[in-house]
Order: sequence, then structure tokens, then C-alpha cells
Amino acid sequence: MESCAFSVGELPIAAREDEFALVERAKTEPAAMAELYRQHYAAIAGYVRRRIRDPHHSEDVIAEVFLAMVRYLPAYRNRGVPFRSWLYRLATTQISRWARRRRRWAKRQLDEIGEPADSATLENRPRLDSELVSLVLLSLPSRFQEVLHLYYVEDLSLAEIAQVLSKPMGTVKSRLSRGRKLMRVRLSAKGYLND
Amino acid sequence: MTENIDPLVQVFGLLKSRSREREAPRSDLEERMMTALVERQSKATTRRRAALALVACLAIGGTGFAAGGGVEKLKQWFGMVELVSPDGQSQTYSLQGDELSDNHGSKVGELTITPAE
Repeated sequence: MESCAFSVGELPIAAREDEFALVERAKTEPAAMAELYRQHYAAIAGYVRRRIRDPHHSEDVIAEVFLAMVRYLPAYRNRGVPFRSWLYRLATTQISRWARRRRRWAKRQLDEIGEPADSATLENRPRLDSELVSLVLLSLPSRFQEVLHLYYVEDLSLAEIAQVLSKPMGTVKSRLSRGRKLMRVRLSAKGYLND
Repeated sequence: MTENIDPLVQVFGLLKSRSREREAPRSDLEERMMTALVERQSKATTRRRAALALVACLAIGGTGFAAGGGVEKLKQWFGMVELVSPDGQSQTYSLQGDELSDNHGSKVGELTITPAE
């Protein structure tokens, strides 16, 4: 597997204290807010772009994430969870909102791709590339999309995913397992994966 | 021995091929955030001022009410007992605790309430 796209794991204690102090200042000071934004922009923007491949929609969602950060920062409390996890939770919420709206469209797009038994359309069937994988993923319920993406694309551990989604580890495991099954079924139905 | 490889690792690997270069923060978004922060702070200040004004009004009103004998009036309002005889004559007593006093403040008896059997 590739190296982590982002890390939400443990920071050294001193760094965590510095980060928490910066977050506390950002609740009222524009300069600290700007600093926080600059520190986390690349990671959050990258995550959003990898999930939402459309550049136009990505821009909108990235803006929504950081505006939500301004809105909800006063409610942020340090409970030992890295600030970045909290930020990824905001991003995941905004992405899932977008994904729910796009799911029907993704299903329609997939329906147009021929079934393996249909030899007439099979020849014109697109090859399995990133766009198609993204389309299949988008056709799943968003609770499975987010776990699958965080696990397989962002390379997060189950514990880190539980932190980002603020869900118990058991829930994350169960969603990953069910998401895998659904993904395999959809890909097999189109002949892209042998069951 | 064959290794059990998760086929989805390869499938999702396709989504990782996108560039992972660090992109520079957008200045227009930073400006929008600063505007949103200022708006949020100004709303919070307005709410805090309104809450303080309400507390001050209640404190001033309460103090004025107490100073003007309002508390005593309230006590009387809740502590008056009026007894009406069958011929229509009424007598008012003030009630403090269990003690009944007449208009001159002299104790006339005690009020005991017992549940009906």
C-alpha cells in the first residue's frame, strides 16, 4: 500500500499542546484562524478532491468545509482527538451530503454499462479505470463509501477511521465488511471482478 | 501456499493515482472565512449584550420592586384568608406560617388543614 495520504494519529505531546493552543486562539483571533486554515488546507483539499473527482464540485465542498470550521470551532473541545480528525469529520459530513445527491446519478450511469451476458454492449463497455471505480463507489450508500474510501484510498487504520467518523470500532468494522461485499457484488455484476 | 489478496486493494489503487502534490491555500476562501469569523463574533457580541441588558433590567426591576414594598404586598396576596359567614359578613385574616392574624396584626388562632376522609 502507498504511504498514508494523511495522518490523524497521535501527535507528540508538545505538538498537541501547541495545536490545541492555536485552536483555542482561532476561536477569536483571525490571525490564528488563518494559520489553522493554512496548516490544514492541503490535506483537507486533497481528501475532498480524491472523493469528489469533479473539480467544480470539489471547490464548493472544500469551501463548505472551511466555512463550517469557522462556524463550529467554538464548539470544539479537546478530548484527546487530534484537531485534524475533527476537520476530517467535517469534510466527511459535507462530502456525504454531496454524495447522497449524486448517488442516483451514479446508479443511472452504471445502468448504462452493459452486463457481461449482454454481448452487444459488452464490446463497448468502458475499461475499469479510476472514473468507473469512483462511480461504483458513489452508487453505494454514503456510510459505506466513507469507510471504504478512508480505508483503501486514504490508508487509515480502523482506529483512525473510528476517530474520524466518531463511531465505535465495531460499527466501522461492520460497515467496512458490508461495503466490501456490496462493492464486489456491483463490480462482479458488471464483469469487472470474479466473484 | 497461496496468499489471500484482497482484490479491492487493486481496484481502489486506481483512485490513488491522482496527484498528491500539496496545493497552496486559496486566498479568496481565506477572505470568506475571515468575513464569516467577524460576522460570527459580531453576532455573539450582540447576543451577549442583549443577555446582559436583560439581566440588568431584571436586577434593576427586582431591586425596585423589593424597595417599593413589593415583596410584602406579594406575601399579603398569597397569605390572606377570607372567611364569609352564612349571613354574608366577611372577615379577612393574614396568614404567616400556620398563624392567623387580624388586620391589627394580633394573633387570632392557627390554621390546620386536614385531608377529607
